[in-house]
Amino acid sequence: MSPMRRKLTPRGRLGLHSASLVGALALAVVVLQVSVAGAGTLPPLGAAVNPGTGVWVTADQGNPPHDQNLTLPGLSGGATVSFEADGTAHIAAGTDADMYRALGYTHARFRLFEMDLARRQAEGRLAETTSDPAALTSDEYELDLGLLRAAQRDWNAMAPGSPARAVLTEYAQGVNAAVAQLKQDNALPLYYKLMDFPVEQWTPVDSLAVQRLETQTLSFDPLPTAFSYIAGAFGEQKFEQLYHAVGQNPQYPYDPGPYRKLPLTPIPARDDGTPAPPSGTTGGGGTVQQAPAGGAAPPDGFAVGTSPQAIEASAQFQDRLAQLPANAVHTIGNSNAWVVSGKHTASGKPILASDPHLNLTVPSIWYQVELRSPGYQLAGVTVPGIPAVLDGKNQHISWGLTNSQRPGTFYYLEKTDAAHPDQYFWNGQWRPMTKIVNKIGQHDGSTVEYTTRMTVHGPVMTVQGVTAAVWFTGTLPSDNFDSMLAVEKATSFDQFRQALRGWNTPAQNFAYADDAGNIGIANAGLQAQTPDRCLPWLPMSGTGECDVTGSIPFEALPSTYNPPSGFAQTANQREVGTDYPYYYGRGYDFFDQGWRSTEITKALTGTTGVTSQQMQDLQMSMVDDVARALLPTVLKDLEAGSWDPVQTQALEALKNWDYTLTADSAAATVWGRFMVLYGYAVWHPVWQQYKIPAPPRDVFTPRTNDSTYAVDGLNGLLINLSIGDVGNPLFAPPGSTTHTAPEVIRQAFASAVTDLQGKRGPDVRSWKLGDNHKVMIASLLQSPVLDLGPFASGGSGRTINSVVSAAPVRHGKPLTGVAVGGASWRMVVDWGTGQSVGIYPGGQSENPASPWYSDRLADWFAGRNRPILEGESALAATKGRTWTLNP
Amino acid sequence: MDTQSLTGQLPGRRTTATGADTATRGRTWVRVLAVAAAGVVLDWGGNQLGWWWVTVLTGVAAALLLRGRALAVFTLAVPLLSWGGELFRLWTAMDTTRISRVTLGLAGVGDDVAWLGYVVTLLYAVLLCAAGVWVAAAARQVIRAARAARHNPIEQEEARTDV
Repeated sequence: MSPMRRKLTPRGRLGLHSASLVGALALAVVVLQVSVAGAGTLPPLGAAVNPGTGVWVTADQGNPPHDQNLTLPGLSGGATVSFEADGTAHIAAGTDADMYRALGYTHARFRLFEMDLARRQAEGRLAETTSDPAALTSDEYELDLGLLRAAQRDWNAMAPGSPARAVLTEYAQGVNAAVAQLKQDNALPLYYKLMDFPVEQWTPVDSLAVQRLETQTLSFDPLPTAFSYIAGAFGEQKFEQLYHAVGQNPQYPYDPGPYRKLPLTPIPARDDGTPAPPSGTTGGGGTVQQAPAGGAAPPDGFAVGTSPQAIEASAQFQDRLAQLPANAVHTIGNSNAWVVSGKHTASGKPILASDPHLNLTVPSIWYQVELRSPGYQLAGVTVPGIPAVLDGKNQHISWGLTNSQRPGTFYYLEKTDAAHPDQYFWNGQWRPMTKIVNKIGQHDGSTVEYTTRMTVHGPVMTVQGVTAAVWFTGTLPSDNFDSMLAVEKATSFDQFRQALRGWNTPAQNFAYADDAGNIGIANAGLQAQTPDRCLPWLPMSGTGECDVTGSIPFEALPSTYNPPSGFAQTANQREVGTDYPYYYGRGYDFFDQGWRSTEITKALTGTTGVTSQQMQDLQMSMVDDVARALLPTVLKDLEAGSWDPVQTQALEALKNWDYTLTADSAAATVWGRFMVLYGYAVWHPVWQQYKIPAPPRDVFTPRTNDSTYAVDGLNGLLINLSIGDVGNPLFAPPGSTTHTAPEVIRQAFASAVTDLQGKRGPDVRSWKLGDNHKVMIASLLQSPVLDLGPFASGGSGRTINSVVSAAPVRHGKPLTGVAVGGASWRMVVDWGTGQSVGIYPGGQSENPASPWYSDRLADWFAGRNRPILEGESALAATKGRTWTLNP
Repeated sequence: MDTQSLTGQLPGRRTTATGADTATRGRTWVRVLAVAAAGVVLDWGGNQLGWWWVTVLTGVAAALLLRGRALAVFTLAVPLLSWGGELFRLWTAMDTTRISRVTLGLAGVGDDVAWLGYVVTLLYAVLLCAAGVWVAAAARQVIRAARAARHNPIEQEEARTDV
């Protein structure tokens, strides 16, 4: 049989070829579309992947610099940037202005994407960079909160000739010079090629916005909303009984008094779009009259704060917070700083140790520099985007910061009703909310309109069911740059403290040590006050009775100078005693419980001949003060039990334990599990008895897999009861077989060992804390490929070398047992030897192909600090790696 | 340029070999190689400037200059040589594998398949070239068919042929 073949007619051939052409054009259109505009999550492929200018060449940009002449337009003279082998930058210039311009240039060369992402987050412009819906949520939140409005106001308020204005301008121009050069050289970070959004000019407002974002991370506190659940269910009496104003473990405030009660100082006008109060009052951002208009009865603050409306508002707000980036809310309070007088050091001069604990990110929040100009001689760490050494030293003084955990976020339940849409009732009248219509640009080029509503208290954060506004100290005017410039030039404690007078937010402790032999700590930042009848640690009534009345005056803020003890320490504990005459926050919901403060105090009390190395070792301490306080009692109680072989092994491990939570410790593993189950056994019945609801982001309810915030907050009470009140009814809940603390302890121990045996086998020696306790240096883009870790880790939120924060989410799943917070920078300055050392996790470059992306990590883990080189010693260490910048 | 000499006597066309044919074929090969070399240089140069679309244009040009297997070889070889060569040069000089891992990781593909980054890049280059080739070849064929239809408007009878 012969096959058939049709011979096409010319028209048929034309049709066939036309179809082929259509197919070809369709393919070409698709290919070109993907190449030019990308598709879905794909970036424009043409620009992204071509090997001449795409992402591939960014590998080359990760190479360390070499001797090079570069142009930096706008310099009045020359400047040099020299790099140590680990990328630490030494910037020297003939004028202060040139030095700050060179700093901007250097920051942008190594951290442009990080800076850009930070400003975009702060300014509500993340959605321009990605189609991820979470970006739009973040933008709406930030636009409500108003960091950009605050930054613009700050910039507009800066006097034309002010030093801060000049520095910010020079810095921005340095950044922009680098951006222009990177664009010209096709050397923008690979993230721009992959995410397909343009780099825009840097402005001084951007620096101010980035600074405000750090303020938000350090001080925007949602706890008052969360506590409305638990406090309401317990009732006022029980709540006060459980949660004292200060922790029930020993407290070591660095300013124990005596205190002065001075008149309140006015809060500076917010002037960021918040409705101006009517004449005669200065409400909202300002000081308001204390008496409610119309003679209304004072509200029962507790009832208001724990009302169904408060809980509803809290639930809505917590939902909103759950969708935000980790740095949008204050969650970590674990910084340490201490200073030791020369009388107690081996070198005869003071030593300052500082390790601010923050979200551990890669690239790091820090960029290490030495800055030298006629007016400045600085060494330490800067935040890319911010032209200031925040933790470091000059030629005479050194400083280190810890977060003052005192409350800066107040919540107001606004009175609204359907008859008065977009109005709220304040000081006896219905008043219109201010509306700000924001336009949020999106990644696809479209824009979304989003309206921010503001009452006299601040932006409305929830509107569903109940309207709640937030009064946030972090958006008040604050002369941080002027303050930091003055700090950087200070040569004495007096100058240092005076420099901080204009520092309004975030509230910080500034540890201080100088070459003249003086030490001290100064607290700075506004602390809003409300009438005594109001409870600012819960949501408050927004009708005017509980408005802010002023701030603690600067002179009355905590401070210490050359204390008799010969040392001073700040570790997020309450800085003052219970007799401090102002509202300063409550221990349980703002301050650290004080375990680290106690450990530092114990380590430094009565010591002499202290060396820098000893202080570095102390920064790495993983001793758990809770174990130190409770374990002897626990061991005594366990002696009375009868145990199987595995339990006996576990008991022996605990007996031989030094309270140190190292990653390879079996005893620490047993102890950690025991404490979770012991806390659960005692507190879970209480939660059940009072029917405590679980808020959406539950950090309170006792649970068996790990400890929670509220349970940790009760450790002081639990220790006291376990030692001194073993028959307390708490140990004999209804339906339980236990009646005393020792019985509960034995039961919890047995459960802990059984649980561990089931998961890890019968050989107690093989149990390691680090198997289920890890730390990760999280990438800004939350991508596993850019993350460093997770790595097995010791420590906890109670140890000086702390490891904290919630589990990060990767690929939509939380990484259980993985922490992403800890010592973001460790520094020790010894004024006697002249030696300073420091380290942070990660590296100086944000380029993942750079050897400076993660080269410091191993040393950071091991506690091996690197010398902070200055002057001549730096010159030798930077040979062959110097940029000479010319105008 | 005498495109007929390239298009009519390509290696893909089976003809009876004669001495003259061999010489012609030799010249043809030289020209094919010249076109390919030009393509490689153009693609590589375009890449250096970020002009990835040059690869599409070289595909278009190749479709006008080459036919059959020569064109197919061009479509595969030229992008692989120009893009792949540059990739290879980068790979020998810097940590491109790390970049590949990061790129794929950020794209959600996974961070342990760095080789895929190279493969995808090269396939993409071939696709660019192929798109240009197909469009130009199809357009040329449409033009030729349109001319044929215009010059011979009477439709021929369908014929049964034995093969």
